[in-house]
Amino acid sequence: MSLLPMPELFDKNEWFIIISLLVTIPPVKWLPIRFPLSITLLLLLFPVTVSRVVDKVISAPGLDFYDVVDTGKFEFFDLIAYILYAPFGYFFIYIYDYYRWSRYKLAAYILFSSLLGWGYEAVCVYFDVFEYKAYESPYSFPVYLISQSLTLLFFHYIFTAHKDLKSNEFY
Amino acid sequence: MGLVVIIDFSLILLILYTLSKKRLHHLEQAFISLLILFSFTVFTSIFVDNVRWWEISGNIESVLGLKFFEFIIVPVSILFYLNIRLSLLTRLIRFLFDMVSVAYFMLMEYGLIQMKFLTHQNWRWPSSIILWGTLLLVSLFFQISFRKILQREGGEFR
Repeated sequence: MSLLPMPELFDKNEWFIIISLLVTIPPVKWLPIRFPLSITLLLLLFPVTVSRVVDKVISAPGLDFYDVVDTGKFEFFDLIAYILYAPFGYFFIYIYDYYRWSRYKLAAYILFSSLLGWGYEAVCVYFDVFEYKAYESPYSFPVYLISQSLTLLFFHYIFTAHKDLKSNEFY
Repeated sequence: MGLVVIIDFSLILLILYTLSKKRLHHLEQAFISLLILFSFTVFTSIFVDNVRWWEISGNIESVLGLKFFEFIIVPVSILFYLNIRLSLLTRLIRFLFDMVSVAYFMLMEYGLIQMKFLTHQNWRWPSSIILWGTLLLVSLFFQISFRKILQREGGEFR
C-alpha cells in the first residue's frame, strides 16, 4: 500500500497526460502577461479545485460513476491530471478578457468552449484517462456549461476584489 | 441523525463566518479556500481509498457527512483560524491558539468517529496531530506568501 501509487503499466493514458501538459503549460508562460500574479494564480487554481470537487462527489467510492486514470484509487497520475485543468481555465478567461464579449457573443463563447471541453473529454476517454462506469458522455455537457459560467463569475469577482485591494475594509 | 448534526454545524459555521469581521482580503479567502479544498480532498482520498487508514461506513449518510466535512467544515474552520490568528498580538498567544486549533480539528475528527461516519484503521491519534498541524501550517504559509504577492500589487494591510 503506497500513499500515491505509480502506474503498474505506463501506457497511453499516462503518455496522453504528459503530452497534454507539455502542449498546454508553455503557452501560459509565453503569452503576454495580462493579469496580476494573484489573479493568475487564482485563475489557475479555480478549475483545478472545481474539477477535483466534482470528481470527489461523483467518482469517489460511494457514487463511483467513473474512474480517473487506471483505478478507483487516487494515483500519482490523478494528481498530475488535475494540473491539466489549470491552463484550460486560464486560456478561457484570457480569451474572454481580450475580447470582452457580452450578451449573445458571450453566450456563444460559453457554448463553443463547452463543446470544446466536451470534445476534449471524449479524447481523454479514448486515451483511458477517464473510465466511465454508470456515467455517459452527454452528462458532461451541462457540467461544462455550469463550470465555464462559474469560471467567468469567479473572474469578475476576483477582478473587482483586486480593484479594492487598497481598501482596508475587507468585509 | 448524524448527518443532520453535520449539516446543521456546517450551516451555522458558514453563517458565523459570513457575518464575522474579516482580516483576510477577499482574494486571500478565495485562494485559501481553493487550496484547502483541493489539498484536503487529496489527503482524504489517500487516507480512505489508497492506504485505508480511515474507513468510511458504507452507507450514503456517512459518504454525505464526510463530504460536508471536507467541503465546508474544514475550509471554513481554516478561514476562521487564519482570521482569528491575524488578530492575535503576541507570539505566545498565537502559539497557544495554534494548539487549541489542532485540538479543535481533532475534536471534529473524534465527532465523526463517534457518529460512526469514520473508523480508524492502523491510525494513531498522534498522526492526527501531525495531519491537522501540517494542514494549519501549510495554510498559514500560503496565506503569508499570498499576502506578500498582494502587497507587491498595492495591497495595504494593517
